[in-house]
Amino acid sequence: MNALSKVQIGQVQTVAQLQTQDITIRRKLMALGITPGSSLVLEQRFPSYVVKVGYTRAALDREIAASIFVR
Amino acid sequence: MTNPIIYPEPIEQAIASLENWLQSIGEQNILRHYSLSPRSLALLLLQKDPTIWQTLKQDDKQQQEVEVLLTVAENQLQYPVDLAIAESREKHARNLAGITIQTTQPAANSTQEILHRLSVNPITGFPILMVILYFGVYKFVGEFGAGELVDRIEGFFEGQINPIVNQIVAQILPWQPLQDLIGNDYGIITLGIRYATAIVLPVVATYFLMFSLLEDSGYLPRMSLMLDRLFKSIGLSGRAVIPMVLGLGCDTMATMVTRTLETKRERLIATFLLSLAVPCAAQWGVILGLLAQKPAALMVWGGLIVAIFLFVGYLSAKFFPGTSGAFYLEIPPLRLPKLGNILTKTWIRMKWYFWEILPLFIWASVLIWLGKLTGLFDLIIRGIEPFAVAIGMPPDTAPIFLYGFFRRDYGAAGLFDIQQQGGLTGNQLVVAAVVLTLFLPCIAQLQIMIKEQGLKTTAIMVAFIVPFAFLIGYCVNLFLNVLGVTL
Repeated sequence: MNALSKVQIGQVQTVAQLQTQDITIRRKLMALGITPGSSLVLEQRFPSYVVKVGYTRAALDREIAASIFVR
Repeated sequence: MTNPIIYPEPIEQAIASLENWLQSIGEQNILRHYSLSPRSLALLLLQKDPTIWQTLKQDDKQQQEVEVLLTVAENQLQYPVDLAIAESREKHARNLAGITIQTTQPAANSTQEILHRLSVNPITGFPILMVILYFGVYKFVGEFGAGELVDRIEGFFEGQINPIVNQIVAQILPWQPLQDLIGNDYGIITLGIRYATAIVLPVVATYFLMFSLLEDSGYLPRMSLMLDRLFKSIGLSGRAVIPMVLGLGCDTMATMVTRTLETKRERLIATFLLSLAVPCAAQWGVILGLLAQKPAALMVWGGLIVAIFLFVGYLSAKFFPGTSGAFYLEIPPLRLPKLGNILTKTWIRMKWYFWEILPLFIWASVLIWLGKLTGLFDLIIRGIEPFAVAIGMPPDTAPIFLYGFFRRDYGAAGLFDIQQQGGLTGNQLVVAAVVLTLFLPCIAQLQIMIKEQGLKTTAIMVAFIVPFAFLIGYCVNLFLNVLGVTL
């Protein structure tokens, strides 16, 4: 299992876990389609994280990105 | 339902028990007016849907029963229930999409995709941001709107309308004060309507046009993601970029938009910064026009306002407890905006703005007229004069600060008038521009602040802003004098 801050940019990753106690963040990630089992592509880390999930593209800050773990 | 989603066993069990329970209580069911199937209600309860739970809270006994059932499911599952439900749905949706959608290889190098990458890559993105601000805001709104258009419409008023109005009132109204109410120096038409249509409207119109263009192109979310980190250091998040940029158009509108920010702290800081250090289009447009011939003065003003924005933001982030709101934003594809949509949006915003300010400008004219007639106005101005003199301004600029209380842009427009008569030095212009930018928000914004933040918070903000504006003006003047700088 890898933190999003460690993975390679541009490769398809499968979400393994969302590690956050904050229910609103978890809900928002779920609404964006970021749930365990879904795949995403990390596009960049700076100035904000940008991920592509299915047909959706989303910007996330460091703190939220840190709650996403992929395998 | 033909093909329902099957959830993990513990959840299905919980749904079944909730369904049974809902049926057993029948008419007493506090949730029955939602007219949803028992299964849907059960799922919403399991996901802790805020609206449903709010209703449930009205009945302690029913709430306790649901909580017991929910705890059982959670213990069996050893996993957040809402996440498990979302996962099952995702999987179902993916399967459906897999069966029904045929994907062709997405064009990885379409123009749209390349533009997106350029706009969010830090190396190209920040220069693009600067270019957009330079051409969109400075060149188009500042030079074209506040320069070209204002000059023309203002010239038309001064040359064509005002003399005719003055002539007509002189002929039909026998009493000098009545003539002054409509025409002459402070008349409703010659001052109020002239300021609204000739000085403020062109600036606001060009700004709203530019903003609608950015909005419809999908660039604004990209701007938010580029600026999130910077905004985090002033207690805000990338989400606040949009209200701040809108504030450069109209602070009143922007203060309303702070409602979209997530935390109370963010809304508070954003409202405060909007009222202190974000000049509205009418205001900075006029100031830009005033300082255009003096690039150094423009730099001092711009640099100082940006520095105050960042520094006061940084301090308020330290001062107000809590952390910045989390930043997550869907990034829509970049699109070529439709001209019709942009024009409609601009038109609607302009109309809102114009009808909002026109009565206020007219009232301001009437109040000034009344004030002049009764001598009260002179009294207040004499009270302000020492302050104006203390910050290095000639005494006859005191009325501007009084106008500025009615509306910041009104004050700036007044400054524009004095400058046209050639009355101010570069240093004085900078000081006046700085004080007016920081000074109290216009009456409309004050109303919205009270509505959004309450009277007490607004009063505290105002009590800080007014002395702060004059203090900064005093310091700038002192600083320029001590250093012997002439701008």
